[in-house]
Amino acid sequence: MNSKKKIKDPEPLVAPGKFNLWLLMLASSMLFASLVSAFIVHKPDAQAKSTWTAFDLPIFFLVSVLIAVISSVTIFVAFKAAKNDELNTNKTFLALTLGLGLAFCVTQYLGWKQLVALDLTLVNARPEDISASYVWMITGVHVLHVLGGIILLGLALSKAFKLEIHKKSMTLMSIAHTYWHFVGLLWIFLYLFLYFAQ
Amino acid sequence: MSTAALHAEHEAHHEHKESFISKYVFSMDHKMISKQFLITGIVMGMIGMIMSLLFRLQLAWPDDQFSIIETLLGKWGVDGKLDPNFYMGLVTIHGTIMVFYVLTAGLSGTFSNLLIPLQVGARDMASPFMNMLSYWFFFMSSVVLLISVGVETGPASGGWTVYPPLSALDKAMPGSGLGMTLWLVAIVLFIVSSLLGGINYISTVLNQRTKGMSMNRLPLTIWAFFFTAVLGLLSFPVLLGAGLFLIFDRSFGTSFYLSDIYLEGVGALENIGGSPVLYQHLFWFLGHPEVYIILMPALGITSEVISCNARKPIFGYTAMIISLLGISFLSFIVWGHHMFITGMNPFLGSVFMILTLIIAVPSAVKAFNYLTTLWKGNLRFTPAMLFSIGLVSFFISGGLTGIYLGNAALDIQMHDSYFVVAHFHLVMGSAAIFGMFAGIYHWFPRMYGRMMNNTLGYFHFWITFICAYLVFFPMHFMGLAGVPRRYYQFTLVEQFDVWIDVNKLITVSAIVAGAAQLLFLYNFFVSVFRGKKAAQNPWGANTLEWSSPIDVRLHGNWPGDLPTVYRGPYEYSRPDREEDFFPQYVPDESAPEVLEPEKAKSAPAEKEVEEESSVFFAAIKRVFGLG
Repeated sequence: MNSKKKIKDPEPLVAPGKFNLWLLMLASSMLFASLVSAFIVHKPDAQAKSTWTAFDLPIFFLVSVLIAVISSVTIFVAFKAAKNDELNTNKTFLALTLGLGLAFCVTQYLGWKQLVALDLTLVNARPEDISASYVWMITGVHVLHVLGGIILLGLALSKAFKLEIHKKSMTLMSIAHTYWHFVGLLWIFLYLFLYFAQ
Repeated sequence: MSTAALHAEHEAHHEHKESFISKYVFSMDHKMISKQFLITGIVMGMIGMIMSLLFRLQLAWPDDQFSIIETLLGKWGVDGKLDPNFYMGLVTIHGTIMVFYVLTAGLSGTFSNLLIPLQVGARDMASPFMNMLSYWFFFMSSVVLLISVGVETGPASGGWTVYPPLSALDKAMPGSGLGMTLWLVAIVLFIVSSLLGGINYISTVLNQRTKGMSMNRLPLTIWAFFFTAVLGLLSFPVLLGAGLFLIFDRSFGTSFYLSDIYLEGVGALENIGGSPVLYQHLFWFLGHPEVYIILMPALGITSEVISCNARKPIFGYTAMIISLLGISFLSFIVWGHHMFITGMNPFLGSVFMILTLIIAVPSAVKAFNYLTTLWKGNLRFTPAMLFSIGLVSFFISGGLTGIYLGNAALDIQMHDSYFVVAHFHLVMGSAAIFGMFAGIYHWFPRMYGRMMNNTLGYFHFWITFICAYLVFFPMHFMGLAGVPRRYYQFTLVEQFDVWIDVNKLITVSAIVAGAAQLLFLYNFFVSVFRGKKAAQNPWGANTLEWSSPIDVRLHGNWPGDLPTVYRGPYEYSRPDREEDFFPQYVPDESAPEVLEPEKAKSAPAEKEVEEESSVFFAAIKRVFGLG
């Protein structure tokens, strides 16, 4: 190239990473919409054949809801701290959120163990338990999303320890923040759905 | 600054050495990725076409033997006779390849990648890395699908819609074994590819437009790619959901789709309580938007090519956008018209029917707008223009039969007959592939800096056009007479025996059409290396892609600053101009924004990146030009 001129392109209005994240969350929402609508469409059909039983969700899933709420607060604090250049608070609360994320996975695991103890397995032990298969699918796909969030939090934390997250470098922090709220809200929605729709 | 902008700056400062791998293989340049999509699409298209010729031979001459079948298919074509199971496999894989691999990835992948950054004035896609991943997922998916054709039990053979329980039980037929598993793997990879691509397309169109490129100055190609990407983003995850249930039913023993099944040699299955119709709901929630994912990029390309080669502004720019929006919206609420005979409530059927018939309105708006754009234009019959007009022809003749099939009462009669085959091959298959050819002929100079041979292009067009009608038009009559699709040999059914001569006509026409594609291949590959060097703007077009140098490969698209856009894309033959086109990037010396730049009406420029909390509203503001 001959041009020696310094090129300065205008910044896009929204950071591309963040924009893509919103679209990815939209696509994810559609995936859950498909699982949830399958549940809704299937239920009357299966009820007519008496292959659908309503059962109490494991108590650990409710604990997961609590963790989702608390970790949404902690990630918010971490995010605000980073924006105000309070790097230590940021690190502490990021680590706290990461810990809560892992705790979330543990409660999910314990919830699944409770289901197994009741013979409510993914592959139906009894023909009338199609509803249990849905609970497994929906919680399983959600946990995969949470694992994605944990990876994001881990990346953000390692960046925070390298002092690369601060007022002027917020992209990864805000991506992790938005996504974590997304999986948290998603779980609250799914829990309420599974609680009431059965 | 985005990665691509950094890259452009980097390149502007010193000669850039790239390795073969980073330049041609794991390239992050959207122009190279578009070529990768195109070449892969062409290869897959040839394979899909050869498959169709093989099963057409069987349909026309069911009692004859063809040594080529044995040579190509080995144990599936012993003594030159096509094996019935493999016939079903060929039909299935032909459909899958054409729908997903050629007309979704090959068409939308190629031209969205090439044109979105160039026509909106961006250095590259929002995320070049995701863009590269999108291609390589597509590539892996293609490889897996092709491998599935070669496995011992044969490829998936339950039709491209892979309805359970046939597809969910590996003992149901040979093709439901390993071939079906690989089909599902391929489709999951394909969904990932198409989501990665679609996210980039939407994000680039909404967020990375250059100064002055407001939404109402976007070329219709971009509008079409944008709506296509939105459809894909919202519908492919649903197919993923459907696929997940199917995978679990197949491999882990769940009963989402399976209930009360008796298999010969196996006995009654344990699965109880599943709902096979559930799969159809989920599948067609993707499946119907999918046909618009296929068609809309072709419609967008046609808008651009027809306007440019008629030297006239497109008739009804806003109406074109609104009709695309209408088609996109309606496409999500009509899936039930594929399921009229599943025993759905007739009232629900009539709701789906009314919604389906409403699609005729935006479609007709588009057809009339094409015709009125052509009306009294200074038509230049380039090969691209001919293919675009061909698209309009197929869109009308195939679209009209959609009105028949959308009627529940008629569809119950014509469902699964050759009438359906004729309908979708004309309106979606032929129309979309003609849009793709139009795009290739039109943007070939932009891709390779050379021109394709026009004479070969004319031969290619006329032979393909005539043969496409010869192949698909007679199928309407077969369908009306009740000939069912997917049958291996209907000479065995006495009442369909009369159609054998028509079948021969169809097969011969298909072979001739196939031969014409060899002309295209020759033209394409020879022109890549030996074609006449193209001028910078060979068609006298208005859009931004022709302002970026076509003779040097430049990651970042423009050597200097990004171009500024001063007007809409269709200002052809303005009476106050000497030339019959007025590019978007050329300032008008008498215009107020040039005389008083501070009053220029332009897209919001170098603003601070918005706060997290207002990202969504910022996007909304940007979309509606309020920012």
